[in-house]
Amino acid sequence: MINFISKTVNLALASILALAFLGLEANAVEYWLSAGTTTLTMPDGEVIQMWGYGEDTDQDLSTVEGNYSVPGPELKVPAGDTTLTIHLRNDLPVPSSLMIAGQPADGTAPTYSGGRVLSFNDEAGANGGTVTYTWANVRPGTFLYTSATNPAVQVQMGLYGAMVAVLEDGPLCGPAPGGGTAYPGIIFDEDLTLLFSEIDPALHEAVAADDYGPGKAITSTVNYRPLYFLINGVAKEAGSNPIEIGSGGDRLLIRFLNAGLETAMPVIQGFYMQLVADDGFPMPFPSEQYSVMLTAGKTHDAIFSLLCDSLPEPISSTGTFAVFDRRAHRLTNNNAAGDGGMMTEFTLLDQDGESIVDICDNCLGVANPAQVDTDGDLFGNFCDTDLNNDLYADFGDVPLMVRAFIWQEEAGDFNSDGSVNFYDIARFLDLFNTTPGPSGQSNANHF
Amino acid sequence: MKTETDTALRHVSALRRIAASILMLAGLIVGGTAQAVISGTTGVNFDLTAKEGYVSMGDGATVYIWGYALDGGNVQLPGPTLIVTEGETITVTLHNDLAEAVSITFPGQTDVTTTGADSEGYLAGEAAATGGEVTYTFTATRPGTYQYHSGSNVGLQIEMGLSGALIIKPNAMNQAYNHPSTAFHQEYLFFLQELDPHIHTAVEAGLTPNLAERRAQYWLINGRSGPDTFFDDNIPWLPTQPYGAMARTHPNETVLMRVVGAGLDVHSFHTHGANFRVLARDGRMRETIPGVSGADAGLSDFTLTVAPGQTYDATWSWRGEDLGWDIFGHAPGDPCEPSGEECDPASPIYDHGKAIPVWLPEQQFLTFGGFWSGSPFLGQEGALPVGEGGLNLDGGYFYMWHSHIEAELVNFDIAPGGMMTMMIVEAPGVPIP
Amino acid sequence: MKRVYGMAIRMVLASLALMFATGAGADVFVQCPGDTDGDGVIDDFTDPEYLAHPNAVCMSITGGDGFINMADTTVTGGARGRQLYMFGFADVTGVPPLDVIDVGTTAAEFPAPSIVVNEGEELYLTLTNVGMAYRPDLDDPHTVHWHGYADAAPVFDGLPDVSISVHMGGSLTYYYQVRGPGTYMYHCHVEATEHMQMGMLGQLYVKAAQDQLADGTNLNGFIHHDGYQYAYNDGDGSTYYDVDFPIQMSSMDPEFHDASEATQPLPFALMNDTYAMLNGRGYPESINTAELANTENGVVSQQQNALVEANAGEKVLLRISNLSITEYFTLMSPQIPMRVVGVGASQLRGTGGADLSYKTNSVNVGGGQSFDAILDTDDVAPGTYFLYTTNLNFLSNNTEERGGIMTEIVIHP
Repeated sequence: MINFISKTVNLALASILALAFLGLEANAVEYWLSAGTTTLTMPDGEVIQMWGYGEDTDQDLSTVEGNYSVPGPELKVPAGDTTLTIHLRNDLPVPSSLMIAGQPADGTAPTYSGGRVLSFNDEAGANGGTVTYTWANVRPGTFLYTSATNPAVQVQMGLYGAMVAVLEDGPLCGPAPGGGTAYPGIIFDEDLTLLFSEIDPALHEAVAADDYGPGKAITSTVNYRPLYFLINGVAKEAGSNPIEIGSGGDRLLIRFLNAGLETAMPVIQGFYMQLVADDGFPMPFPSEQYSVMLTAGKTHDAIFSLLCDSLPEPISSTGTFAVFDRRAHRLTNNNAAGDGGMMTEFTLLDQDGESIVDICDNCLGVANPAQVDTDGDLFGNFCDTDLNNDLYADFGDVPLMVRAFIWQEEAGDFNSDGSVNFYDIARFLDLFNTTPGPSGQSNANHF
Repeated sequence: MKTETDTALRHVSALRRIAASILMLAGLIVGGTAQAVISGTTGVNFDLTAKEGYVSMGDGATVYIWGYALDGGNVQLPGPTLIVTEGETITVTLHNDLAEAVSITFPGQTDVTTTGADSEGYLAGEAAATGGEVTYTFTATRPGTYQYHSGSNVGLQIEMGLSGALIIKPNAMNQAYNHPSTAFHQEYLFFLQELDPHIHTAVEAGLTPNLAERRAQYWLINGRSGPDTFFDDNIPWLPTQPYGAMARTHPNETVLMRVVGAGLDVHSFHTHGANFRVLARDGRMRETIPGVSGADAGLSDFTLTVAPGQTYDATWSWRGEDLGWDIFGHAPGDPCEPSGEECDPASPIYDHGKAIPVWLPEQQFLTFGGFWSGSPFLGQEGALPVGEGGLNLDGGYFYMWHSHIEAELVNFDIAPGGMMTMMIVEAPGVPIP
Repeated sequence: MKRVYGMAIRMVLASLALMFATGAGADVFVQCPGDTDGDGVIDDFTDPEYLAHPNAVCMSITGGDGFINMADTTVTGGARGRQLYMFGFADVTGVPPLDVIDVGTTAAEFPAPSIVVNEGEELYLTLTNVGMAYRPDLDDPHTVHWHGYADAAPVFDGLPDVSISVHMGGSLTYYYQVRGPGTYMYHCHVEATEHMQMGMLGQLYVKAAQDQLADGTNLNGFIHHDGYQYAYNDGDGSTYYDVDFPIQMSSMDPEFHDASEATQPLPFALMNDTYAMLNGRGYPESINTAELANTENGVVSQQQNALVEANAGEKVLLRISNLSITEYFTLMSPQIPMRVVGVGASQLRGTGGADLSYKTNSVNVGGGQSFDAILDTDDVAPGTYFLYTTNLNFLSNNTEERGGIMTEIVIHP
């Protein structure tokens, strides 16, 4: 897990600048990362040497961590934090660095040699060097962080990840935490990152064999030929798990990022999206479209509305639906076997296992497959002991419960077993002094 | 280009172009080319069959394809353009004559129900190999330009040719959408795709090519590569490529371009003659106020990026004003053109009666295009050396609409060809069928 | 030595070819109102023709061949990188007509001479075809296509199939009433795939009439002053800029150029552009402000660079275009956001006037596309920033890494 906020001031690491920001503790977030060598195994069995970022869990940059991943860990900047500090340790055999495209400069100078830029900012030396970057005035949005050193090689090798900053935190109308405001006026209940990238195994083999570089077998990346295509670091293979969405209300913010060198065309099968942002800038007019043109290095944010009423079967009962690159020749794992590459599936969460997805479920957390909702307030009976509909279950509901018990009214049959009995009275007492719900149906809270 | 090999290839190409020229000429004489309506099939029930066949490229090569055929007829590239009307319930029945399962997905249609599927493909229910059948039903809820394509083994089957256009017309006549901002005089389809012939050859030989190594070599509009795009619809010698791509309009009229990115690569589609104005993307108007403002948030540009899966609707109009000379070649005292010339013979602010301020070179310094009328003026013919020009008997203004990735203006190794067609601005009064 | 000898023979052949052309009536004919000596420079401002066209501006260019060098100096080990044969345009404005063929021969520039005009002017652009001296077997005509010129008539649109193109030894004067401001481009449209791959392309942009308003004019609350410049006639100052830089992306396939030079079959189907450039140069030559002479005949054939310089607080207009015939390029300014105010020489406004301009860090530019993007350096610390393609494999000069489509934005204090 990513450690968000520094609780201690680490004098060994903090520069004077960083100290100044850490003084404003609520406005700063700090990460410790390391870069190093790892491998990814492709579905066809090919093992690819990658370079990745990992979290430096002991936050001292003094030891090799070895937990590198591709993409690197998602860096989150919570609402209100305007300063981001990243400490990087480099365990690669070459100098490396980290930049965030779209954020203002990190306060370090470019690195040059022989009249050419080696890195767009300061580097950490090879084999254990360290560097610290600080971004003041962090801009909310979706961003790609990458190596700033010889990006043609180092980004290809896997040194990339998502950096996400929200404007405001907090659930707005959905039942689950995690929502917020991404941009002015763009609220979401849940967000999800889809990061597209590619692998040209020839470069990785050359780097692993020390055959890449001036005077060696391969001297530039100009003949780029990607053969593997990944979403969130995964190439589709038989048995891949779908991505679960729909835990918190009906406005899913999808953060699309492309760390590949080619254009991707993500499509969510059967749905439109509202494209709302471009490289972390809100668009002047949101655009309704079913495909997103995601050029190299680009980020786009789209609102995907999960309206229960318009969900077709079988999606509303936990079926899956496709998310894929419409440049469909990239739906391959470097072979002719068919489906692979940049394809995955979404499935809507059904946490109580009743085959009614949470966003349609009028009583979350309990299997109530019949979905009985006698008073039609979108709170299913099992979650709704608020019989007088004042949005609170309390003494005001007792007379109605007594009446339901005597007259065997359905509103009091919380477990839908056909009668109002002592079980239902126990349930009534259980939920005494609570609000009805939770219901996954987004309008329920507005009653 | 003057090496022997090259010249030989050129020769073939030239012969082909001459043949094309003769046919064009014949077509233009009878006024039969470039229908102002989009060819396709109308109705509510469509019967398609996925089958194999061959198409012909602009260099004369034959390419093996898989495609959708209408009512058990010829396989065709692209699949039949399905033209339906808003609100109708559409049923598409798919039969499968291919040796692997196929299907159809309809991007942009959000309520498709599938019946009788033999299996589930990645994007749609499938008709089983060799004789399977499946039926798709949807309501044509929202007007717009859409596409359909296979939802099975998606990369290979799109590459092989299993795609087509779907046009949902609004109830309003001569509008693309239910808003007057989308009104037009003529409408044309530009269905852009590209083929890698090596994949097709491999599939025909029973091999399974690695799609990651794909590299396209033919670039098509409406299933044809240039110069075949210039030919009329339904010409007998292209039986599996029924749709031409030549377009015609008049000055000051509005052309609706329905552009479909149907292949797997991104194309840069340049409209000579004027900027277009985007109305809609993916079948949805670009609006500042959704549902209210109409298509008022689309940009004006001279080159459209068309990416795989996308559709665009745009309008294009050519006015011929403010050139500093009179495109009709009028003398100052001549009456104005009755249809649409922005003109006041008494006012110097208009071009009326202004001569071209430069001399054109004498003939011996010039090469003449086949579509050059011999005159710089609209609707006029001029003297041409014997054997030059001759394809523009109405004196129309021709504009090439083409991929501005010029590497795509070839048919394999032979230039020119590929993703190109012509937009003709005819003189006022020249009928456009 | 052998190669040089071969060239010499070919030069002789070329001269013969030109003599034949001359014999057939070669005639450099530059049309320009008020130009009395035919060199394309207005010298008589009382000439009745000039008085009839007082907004005339003239330019005279040649179409022919020449040489440039790529930026891969670490591969060649010399001062210049790999030499490529090319077709191209050269600026001969001011050259007497009798000298035009001489001066224009093997003098092609890359990119072509920039055409920068003001809205309201009348451009008389004369193209003289001087032939390809190193390819005497060729007698290709040439044209100028003003890419994006609205309501073009075919006679001046440069598309050979539908128009006229000029033979070797002849001149054709294109006439354009200069209208809509914005970033266009131009190129030869004859055998476009070949002639553009070979280098016949360049910058063309139109400066807005709003620049010429009287000092103190109120533009809906924005007060115009002398010297203020705008990308478009925005009516509100929203496209104001202090300095502008044209940034044109292009690319070349060295095998294609070598095949052309050696009179071999041209690899259309296998075309593979491996030199990607900004204003005709790969990095780091893109930031070298010197004009560069080629290694074949010493002609200064790469006159432009792509270094962007401004003072902190200034608004910098980038006139971005792409004339690569094989690649889309995504151009990224990772630290200084771009505000895109126009595309396709058209201000980003909806049909009802809605402001469609947008901020971003990257634009995807296809062949034949243009973007007008303003960098606002108000909150930017002085220093060096980068503008490069995120199609990262094109950060290469063919086999040389750390090159290609990249330049620097230097913000001075």
